[in-house]
Amino acid sequence: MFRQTLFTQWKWARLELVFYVLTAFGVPAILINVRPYFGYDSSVTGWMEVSKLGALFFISLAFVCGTSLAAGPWGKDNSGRHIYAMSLPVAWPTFVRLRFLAGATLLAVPAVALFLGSLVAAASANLPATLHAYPAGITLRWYLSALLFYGLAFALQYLAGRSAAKVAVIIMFAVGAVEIAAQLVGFHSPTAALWMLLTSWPGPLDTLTARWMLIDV
Amino acid sequence: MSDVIQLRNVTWRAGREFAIRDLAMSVPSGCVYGFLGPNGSGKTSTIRLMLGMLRAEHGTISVLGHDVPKGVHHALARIGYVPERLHLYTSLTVEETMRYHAAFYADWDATRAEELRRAFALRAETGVERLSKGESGKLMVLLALAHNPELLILDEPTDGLDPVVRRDVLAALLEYVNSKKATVLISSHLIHEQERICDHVGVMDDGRLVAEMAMTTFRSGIKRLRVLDAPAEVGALPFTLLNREQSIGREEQWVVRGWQPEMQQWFASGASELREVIDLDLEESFVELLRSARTPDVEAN
Repeated sequence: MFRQTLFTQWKWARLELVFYVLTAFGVPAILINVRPYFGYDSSVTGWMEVSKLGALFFISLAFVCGTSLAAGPWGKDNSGRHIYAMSLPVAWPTFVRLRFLAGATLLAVPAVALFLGSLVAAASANLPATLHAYPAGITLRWYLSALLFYGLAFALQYLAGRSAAKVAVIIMFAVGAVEIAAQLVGFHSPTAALWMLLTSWPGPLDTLTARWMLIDV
Repeated sequence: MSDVIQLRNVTWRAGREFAIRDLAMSVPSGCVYGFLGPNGSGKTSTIRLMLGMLRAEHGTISVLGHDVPKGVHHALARIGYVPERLHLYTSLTVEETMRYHAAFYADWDATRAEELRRAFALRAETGVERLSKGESGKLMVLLALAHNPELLILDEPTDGLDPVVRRDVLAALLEYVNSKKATVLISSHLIHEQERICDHVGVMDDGRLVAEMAMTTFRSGIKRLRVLDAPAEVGALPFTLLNREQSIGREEQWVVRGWQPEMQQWFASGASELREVIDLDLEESFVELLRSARTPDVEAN
């Protein structure tokens, strides 16, 4: 069952995956090699600036990749109003678990490409003695973050169904309203406090805000 | 004969517009059960309740001895289901669809599936999105039959198919039913098609099961009577009067259910005269039954 589920999800996502793989493999090397054209020299500061630019790319790719791989299969099932999925002789939680695991497995493909691309980029870089490349670290961070975005999007869709987009908008409005109300009565920003709680260790979103540097001290 | 499907006091609502109310239904083992009803009468919703795709507000549903929805996935392993519309993943090919489907069924018969694919002239490499309506219908029937189900639930399986494809699909279904002695629930509004293949019927209208009986009873029990000088108030009758309407002169036409030849005596004992007893075909019986269900005051007589 898992193999067939993985195959169908691969078939649905294969064009996207090709794009993610090429991007994940190519961008680290491009960033390092086009560094002089952006005006960054080969000093420690120059390398660190390039690495920060890469961090923005890595986290964006994790977000796009995670959410799109979660949206695809749900959309396919939803277009048939989930009739086919529900007519199969497996308990619904088992079916959802198969879907989730297949997507999580597919996320590993761009992660591997990112690792290889980072290795190639690091090998081609002539780094100052105080700097090091961290291809394994950045790949692991990327995969965990992509998995986090994937998990959130997946959970939102399977819990809220066709109302997922509506629920997401309601959450955003609710957060905005709470924030405005807090400002009006002179409280500290509750959203910022919540964000700190979630993104500081051991918060579940810690991986998003840590250092996303391929090249670091 | 035990019941393969049993619904008791099932209630389900779709907004304010439509509801299935207090539905009780039994499909005996080994029968071909024709599930009749006009479009929008609740046949598809009832089938989805049986398969656990919708949740009943009240009542109990049992399919192949499993409670629905709790144990429905155990029942689904022994059910072949053909929905009214294509429900498969359109970006897969026929072969990929068969492989995907097979992975979920322990009793999948790959040889049988391949035989059916060839018999239905379905090309393995064709994408599901490129199949014609007839080919899609054949593929769904193939998937429903290839794991040797004990129960087939077919929701309008031949609706919209051309006569040649319809014949192929029905032939495959009947061959399977005859060889495996499977139970079939076939929903349709194509009455004549049901007449040929079904031995039980249930008639649904506006969310209610208005009749459920053996096909022979359904076919022979509903008659049109030509009655002369019928009284305005008929009192107690030995049959059920479904409908009465003025014909020519002093004559009325009565549509009755549960008619037996010896009931002619009732007319002999009164002032009215029975001129003729006319057999109705299944479609006429069906229409009269629905008409009476929608005007319950006539049947109350």
